[in-house]
Amino acid sequence: MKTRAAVLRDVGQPFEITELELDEPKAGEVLIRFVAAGLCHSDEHLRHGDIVPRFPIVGGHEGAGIIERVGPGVTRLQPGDHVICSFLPVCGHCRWCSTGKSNLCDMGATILDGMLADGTYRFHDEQGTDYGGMCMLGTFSERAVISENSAVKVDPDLPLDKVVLIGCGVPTGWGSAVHAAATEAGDTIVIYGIGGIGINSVQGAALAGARNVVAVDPLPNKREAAEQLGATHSCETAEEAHELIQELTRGVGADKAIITVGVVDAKVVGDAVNTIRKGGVAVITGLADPTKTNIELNSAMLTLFEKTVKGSLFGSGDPFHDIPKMVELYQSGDLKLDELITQTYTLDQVNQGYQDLVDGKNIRGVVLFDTPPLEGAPA
Amino acid sequence: MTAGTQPHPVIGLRREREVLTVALRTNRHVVLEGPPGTGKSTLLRAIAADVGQEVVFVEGNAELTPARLIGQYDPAAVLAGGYVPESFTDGPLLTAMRGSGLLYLEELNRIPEETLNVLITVLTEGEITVPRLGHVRAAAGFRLIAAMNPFDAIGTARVGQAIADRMCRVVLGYQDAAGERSITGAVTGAPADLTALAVRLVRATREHRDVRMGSSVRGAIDLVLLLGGLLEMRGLTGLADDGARETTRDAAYAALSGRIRIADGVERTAEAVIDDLLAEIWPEGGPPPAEEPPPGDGGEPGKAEGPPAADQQAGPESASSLRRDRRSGGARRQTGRREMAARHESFDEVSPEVGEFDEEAFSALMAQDADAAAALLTDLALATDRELRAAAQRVAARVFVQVGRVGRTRTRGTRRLVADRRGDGDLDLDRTLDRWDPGRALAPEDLVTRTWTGARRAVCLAVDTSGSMTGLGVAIAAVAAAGVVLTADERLQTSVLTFGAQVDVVQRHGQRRAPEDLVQHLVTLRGHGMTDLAAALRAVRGQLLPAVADERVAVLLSDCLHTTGDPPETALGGIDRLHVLCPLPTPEAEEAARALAARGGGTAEMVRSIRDLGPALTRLLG
Repeated sequence: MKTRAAVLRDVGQPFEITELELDEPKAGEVLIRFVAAGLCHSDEHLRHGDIVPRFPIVGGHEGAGIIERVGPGVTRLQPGDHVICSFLPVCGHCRWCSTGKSNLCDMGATILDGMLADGTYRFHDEQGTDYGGMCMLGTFSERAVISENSAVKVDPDLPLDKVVLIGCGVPTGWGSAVHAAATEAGDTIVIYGIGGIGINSVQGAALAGARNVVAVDPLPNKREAAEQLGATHSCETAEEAHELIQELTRGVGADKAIITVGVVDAKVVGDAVNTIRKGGVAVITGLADPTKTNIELNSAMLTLFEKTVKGSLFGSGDPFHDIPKMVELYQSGDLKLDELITQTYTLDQVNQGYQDLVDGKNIRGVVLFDTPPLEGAPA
Repeated sequence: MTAGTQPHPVIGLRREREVLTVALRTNRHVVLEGPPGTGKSTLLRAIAADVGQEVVFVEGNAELTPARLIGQYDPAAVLAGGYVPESFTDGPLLTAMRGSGLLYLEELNRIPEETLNVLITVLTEGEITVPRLGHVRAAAGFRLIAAMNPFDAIGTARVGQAIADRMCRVVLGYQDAAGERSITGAVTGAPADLTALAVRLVRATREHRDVRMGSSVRGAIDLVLLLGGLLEMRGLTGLADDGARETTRDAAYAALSGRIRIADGVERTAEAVIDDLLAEIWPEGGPPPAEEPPPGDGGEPGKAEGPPAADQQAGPESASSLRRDRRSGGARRQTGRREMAARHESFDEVSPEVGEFDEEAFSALMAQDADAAAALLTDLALATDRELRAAAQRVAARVFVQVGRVGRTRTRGTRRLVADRRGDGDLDLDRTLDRWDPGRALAPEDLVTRTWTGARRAVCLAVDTSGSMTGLGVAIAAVAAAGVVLTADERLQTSVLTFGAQVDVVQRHGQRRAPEDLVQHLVTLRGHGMTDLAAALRAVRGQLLPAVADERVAVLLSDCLHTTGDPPETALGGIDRLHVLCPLPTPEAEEAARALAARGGGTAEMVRSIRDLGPALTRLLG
């Protein structure tokens, strides 16, 4: 079967929209027709070279769609099911899955190569070259074959073009505040960088009962969005935020800091660690080049003030638990999704979408597909 | 435009001028409609002067009686010479008719309908019959030009179809920036930088999100004159001097703060908005704003072609009101299909599949069990399923308005002038002469006057959205609001607000909001929190107070059990009559409702089913 997809062939190259051959689903796999795909910063990291995957790769790791076929042995899904893709697969029985840390599932080891669990690829071109799917998904494609471990079934009345954000950005940001930072009622939380992740850290911190939610971003549209979604204060610079938090906390400092900037560097981590209180926590959610050393901290300050610096992947939650929970929070009005979507694009406009993201125009951009269903498959 | 062909220059408005000129030439009657300060009067005077016709001006207002428009017998002359034509003093209408002039009626939609009805035969037949005077025919060339603000402005009513059908309508909007600069410059003779600054500020007031109605170009004219004068008084030579910005602010406060109307529910002063705008146009410490370049196309300054955009006035659907809605409805909960199926037996019949709304099945349910249908419909109106939600909101708007309409069975007739012994209003010469025995001196009690009947009512519905407002309760609120709004006419003005612990005015007095639109708003409300009845009643009074009405009626849709704030009995001031609609009453609520209604001089109606509402509203307001 053919599918049109946006692929990356090398560092620094734009997405190329091309037609690929897509295999049938093998054991434990499903064929999904994507309805929507979110433009998340991580794909831009691959394109830009901050993080280098195996090329060529079909972009996109935030997706929602409808299952059209299932391979042998698939028990959790059937054709016609509506699903949100989890950008990390969850096998359910590795050490991490069986101890409530399924965001660290061992199956996630190959998400940057993008082959499926059996080590083979489902996307190919005419020359027979294998294409990976970003995060074992490749949601910038009309269709894909993915592991059933990557798809969380949801009610069919949900708007997939909105809940698609629950595939990566929303739980990552929300969980950074709720799980990783463990925001408690009355906390003062500072969030550096209000993009697709940071805005959801704002929502999470506000919902968890933070007294002060301080959003830091140089762009006024981002600060406005943060205030609309629950930030109590917003600052243009880290210095301004530091001073404000000193005032707000009578010199104690923020309880927790969450770093969700585009590329994490020494300055922002230093700012965060300086701004948190004794015994406070700085959560690093933003990415950076995994092959380089990029931060430097004074260890005595960590020792003497018992500060913690920790990383957080996928909001440190369990995708098969957190994704349905966030759907319900969306329905109860506690989690805003519609308000996050600044702009929608077609598959052909993916590069434009990422230009808008880099230019700071979007809180979130979403690609919408209108691929007709396969003949005989449920609509 | 050249002075040779246009002895009375009007800046811009070319299209409107042409239409109006042709309308007059072809003997059409015309109504000019536009916000204040868009040049209606200027335009009319210019055209009338060009055609060399006399113009008789009448300022329309709620107290304009037929006699004041037509003319009346002079009592002294009647006493001396009897009812002879010489004793009759022509009013503006007869003056214009006999003198082949233009009758210019300003503020047409503030004139009572009975007075307007005088014009019906004048407009079509060109004649009028005046009691005791006889037939008066209009001389050739008589025409009526009326001007009015858009309907939504406070204090205006809709002009009846009988009048509207006899006139052409020309819509005027604000002119473009270049046009307004030319007008301001022409009137004030001020330097270009002053007029440019004033026009920018004034135009910005119309765009500001917190402003319902911005300033007209009159504000720019006043601003330029005040600013010029203040600069001179303070010894400044121009906008570049130190202190010029403060001077501009002082002048802008005086010239604009009274002219702009802050949007509903925004707690800001006009001065704060002016500060905002000034900061944007002229940042503190910065240089005065540069003059805007003249439009590059070199076209005639003036209004852009075509009628003004409909959204220039911030109605209920304006961006700023939507922002407010989103804030107040911030925690709006949606309901998934599974939950609705568990809650409503007939859910599967009405919505068998995702995105489907079976209107026939719903109609059948409505006929069989209206309350169950209404409760289901309000849940569907907040479904997670988008298509279903949209369909349900559409159907709710239609169905609930239909149910609410049942209430209007009696007609209330139109406002009438009746004899009055209190001495208010116009002298009724006939009746006074009948009563008076010329053999003795005229005593005050012999005077009979005519005044409007005391049946103009202002009604404000306050909907309790606290506590358990779900399902049927929501439906009852929506139907009640639709019912009240539907009873509105020229003798009954309405407003609607919702309250829990806070009050939210959803239809302001004097502002129109379609019943369908109100229903759509109300079906998405869900109740929670405390009940502050006293605050609601005070807000009701705020809506009723500015109304021109003889009776101010509050209708309270509530269980009347207040849980916060002052006791409701203490907040009845300014309300002539308080009726209560008690939805789904418990014995305790019924007792409270009856007691409160009794204190308010009204009645309490128990609403046990959605079908009770129509008859109840008819009894209260019919």
